[in-house]
Amino acid sequence: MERARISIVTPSLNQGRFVERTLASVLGQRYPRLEFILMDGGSTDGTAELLRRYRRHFAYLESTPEVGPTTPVQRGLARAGGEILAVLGMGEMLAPSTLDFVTWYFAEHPRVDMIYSHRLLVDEADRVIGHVLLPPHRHRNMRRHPLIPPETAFFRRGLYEQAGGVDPAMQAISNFELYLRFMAIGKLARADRFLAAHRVLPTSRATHRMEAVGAEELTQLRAELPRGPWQEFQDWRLIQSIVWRSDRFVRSGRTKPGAWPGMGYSYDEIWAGTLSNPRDGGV
Amino acid sequence: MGSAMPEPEQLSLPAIGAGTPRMSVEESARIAELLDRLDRAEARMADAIAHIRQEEAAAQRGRNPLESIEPRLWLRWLVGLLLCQVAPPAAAASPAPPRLSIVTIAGGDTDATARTLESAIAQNYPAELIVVDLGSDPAWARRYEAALSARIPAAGASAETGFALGLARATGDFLTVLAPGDTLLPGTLGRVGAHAARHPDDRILVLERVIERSVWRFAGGPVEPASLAAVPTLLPQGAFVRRHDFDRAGGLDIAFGGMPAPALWPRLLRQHGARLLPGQGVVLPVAEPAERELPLYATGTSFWHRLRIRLGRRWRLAFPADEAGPVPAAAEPAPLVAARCPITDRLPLALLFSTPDTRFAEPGMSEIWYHPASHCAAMGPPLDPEEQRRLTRRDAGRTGFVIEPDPGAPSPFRHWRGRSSLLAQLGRLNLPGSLAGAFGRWADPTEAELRRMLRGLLPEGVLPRLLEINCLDGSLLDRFQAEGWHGSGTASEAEDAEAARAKGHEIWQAEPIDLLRVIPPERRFDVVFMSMVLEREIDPLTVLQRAARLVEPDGVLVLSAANLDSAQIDCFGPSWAHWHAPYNRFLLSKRTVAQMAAASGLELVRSRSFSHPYWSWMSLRLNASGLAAAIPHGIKPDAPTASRAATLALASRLLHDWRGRGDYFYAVLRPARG
Repeated sequence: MERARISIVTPSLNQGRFVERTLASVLGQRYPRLEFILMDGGSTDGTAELLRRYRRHFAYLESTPEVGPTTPVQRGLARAGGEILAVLGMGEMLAPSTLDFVTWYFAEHPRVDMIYSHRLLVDEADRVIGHVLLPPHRHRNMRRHPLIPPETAFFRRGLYEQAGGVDPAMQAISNFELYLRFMAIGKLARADRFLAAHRVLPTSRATHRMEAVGAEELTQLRAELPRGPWQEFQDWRLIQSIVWRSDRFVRSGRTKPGAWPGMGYSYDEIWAGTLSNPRDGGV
Repeated sequence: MGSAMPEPEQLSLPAIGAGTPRMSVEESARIAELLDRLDRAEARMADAIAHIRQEEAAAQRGRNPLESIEPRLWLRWLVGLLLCQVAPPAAAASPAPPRLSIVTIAGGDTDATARTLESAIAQNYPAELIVVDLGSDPAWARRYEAALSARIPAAGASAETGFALGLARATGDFLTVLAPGDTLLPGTLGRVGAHAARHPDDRILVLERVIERSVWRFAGGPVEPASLAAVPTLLPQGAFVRRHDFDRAGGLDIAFGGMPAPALWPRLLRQHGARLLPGQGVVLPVAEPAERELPLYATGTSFWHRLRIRLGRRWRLAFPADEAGPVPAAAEPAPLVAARCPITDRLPLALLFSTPDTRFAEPGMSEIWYHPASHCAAMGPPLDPEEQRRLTRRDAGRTGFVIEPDPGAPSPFRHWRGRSSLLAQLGRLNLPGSLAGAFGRWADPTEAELRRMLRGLLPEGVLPRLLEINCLDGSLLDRFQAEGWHGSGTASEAEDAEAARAKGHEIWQAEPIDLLRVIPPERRFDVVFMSMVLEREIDPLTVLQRAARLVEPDGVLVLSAANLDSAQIDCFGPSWAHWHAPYNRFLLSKRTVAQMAAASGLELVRSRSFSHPYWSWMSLRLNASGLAAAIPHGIKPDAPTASRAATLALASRLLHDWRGRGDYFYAVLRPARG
């Protein structure tokens, strides 16, 4: 199978504890046409030293304090040369064989411009603490709520360029704003699996500030969208559907690629112990 | 109302004063004891009332979980249900697991009681442990003081009185008794507690038993739904009774009379019936085969439940103790350590049987456990990786001697006839030599089967890259490489790796679990082949997960393994050659592999089973000699048995292989597309 080149951009700032997990999950894919771009904003907690150890695996490594009007993600994506692009936050982890699946999916569905998947939540100790199982993609649902998990989003380079890239004016929900523009011009699809895991950390004051800013930005974006008379009911129905799907997955005992049913197990088990011991995974 | 009310009768109390005779020490002790008993009885009555209330509340919750939802929310939920799929109203929180009281006695054989207590403590369940001390060593008693809820001194009392005293003191929601030496299987209390919490209407819970004869353990046989009332005991081992019902049936009399209420157990059964829980609960040591092997009868089970027991998979894999025959004498048994499920890591539900090494006569016993959810068998006790590697080397060496027990010596499951089936009948026939030669294909089928499994799955016109895990000396790679395939392999042993490299193959020396460490990150394969690898691994799921990462996105992973669904298990039972403990750590089925594949990001696309006369011959030989024998593989089959084996393998092919019940199975897995 002809493999597409995939560029993954990972911004990082003082997340030394989780750096190896993220790197192990990306490099453990054993994907031959991977372009891994790491944008460190001048970490002071030892992340920089750790990244230097993995230097040979990165197509580009930037380790300087944030400067200029552009964000690290913007700069990283601007450098990316892959046909498929993704942004993976430091601390987040790809599921095994994610890149193989993404390549296969885009090859099989040439009209799809972006895919995302359900969301898996893990805590600081890699324990799985929750799932968000999304319904099949519909613009009508997804444009009102920032539900698309950014760590699971993979999009074609053409779509990104056509949309005009990340809007630096958005502080908290730049991903959502970008996906809104994607929805306006491209075709999106939800894969019925878990492509990555999102790490939930205890919220800090800075996070609360960002949440407040995010809520404000979301209100602004929603104000531009049409609002039907049943909007509130539809919103409630969407949320209920997600809750029901997630609950049913946890109880059903059926596995989906990238996650096991139930909660409390370590995400490292999905990776056969190679996140905590990257050497066992050949990284 | 003019007539005057009669005066209440005046009690003539003795005057208390200076001249009153003082109460003797014995009298005051007696009164104190009576008052103490009265207090306890009152406390139990209060407890019983609280219990009834809780039970009613739980029953209400169980019967109608939606009852307490407000009408407005109901309406909202209903509208949502009609228009789309919505979450049902949240169910009530699961009730707390009940407290279980375990009563045992300690007499002369304190080691036996210690085993019982250790097994209860190891359950890690909030149980109330009560020991009635019929005269044990005080030092021994002190050892378990911290773990015990109560230790009741009753020197000189009979065992039955001891149990009655213990039950009278118990305060848990469920009561059970264990004789000294009886042990609980791992996870029993958790299972009983979980069931009792979910089913508040079940009053008596009964589990099957394991029979222990010296170092041998066998299933106690399925519970027959006849009359358990025939068991002449206060409470049979393996039965848990709700304390409230026990008291109501006359149990409280025990506290006052010192003797159990007459016919308490039959009365309880008559009133409430018994709920048969799946799996076993208690291990009963017996000296003689007939002793304490009374079938455990339960009333109240439905016809369908009985039918399910008879027809279910568990029944197929049940090899009861009374069919094992006499066992060789041996030393004290080692404590039971359960072998967990390779996928969910859960404790097993049942012990199938125990067996020595019937291949190379290595010392030690193995227990074979069953996991119904994943439909696989797991071998205990667990091994450390070093020991597992040693055993694998030993197994690969194939050097051993036939050890036959004397014809008169005990050898469990010798000549075990199994279930009556057409296959078993055909297996007793001897094909004429020429026919046996024509139909019995004794050649190694691996290559042919692998090619057959891969047919149509690989892209045309491309020479595939093959990785064989545990390729030994690379003989299979030779044949594929001759056709232009790119053959690579891994070998656990340095000699094997050298031998295969000498033939020009690319070989990495590593254990299957360390594949990713040694194979360069840029290397992926179109076909990854694992023959008889997973069942020998301590952690087969991890090995499969790691091997899956070496498969190309449009490649396949092919594995072969002994088949737990084999029809020959019905013919040979524990003498089936593929149990192969302790070398095999698991016995898998198609269902197990499908579940493991799903947990590894793979999907099962094709499977096929087959039988081979050599392994039928091994099973026939072992069946003729029993589990005390050792029949190594790699030796030349003797002619008469070989002819029967060829017949059996042929019959298996005709009757069972095509429906997935052959001795082995092949499975083709590929990356899940989702």
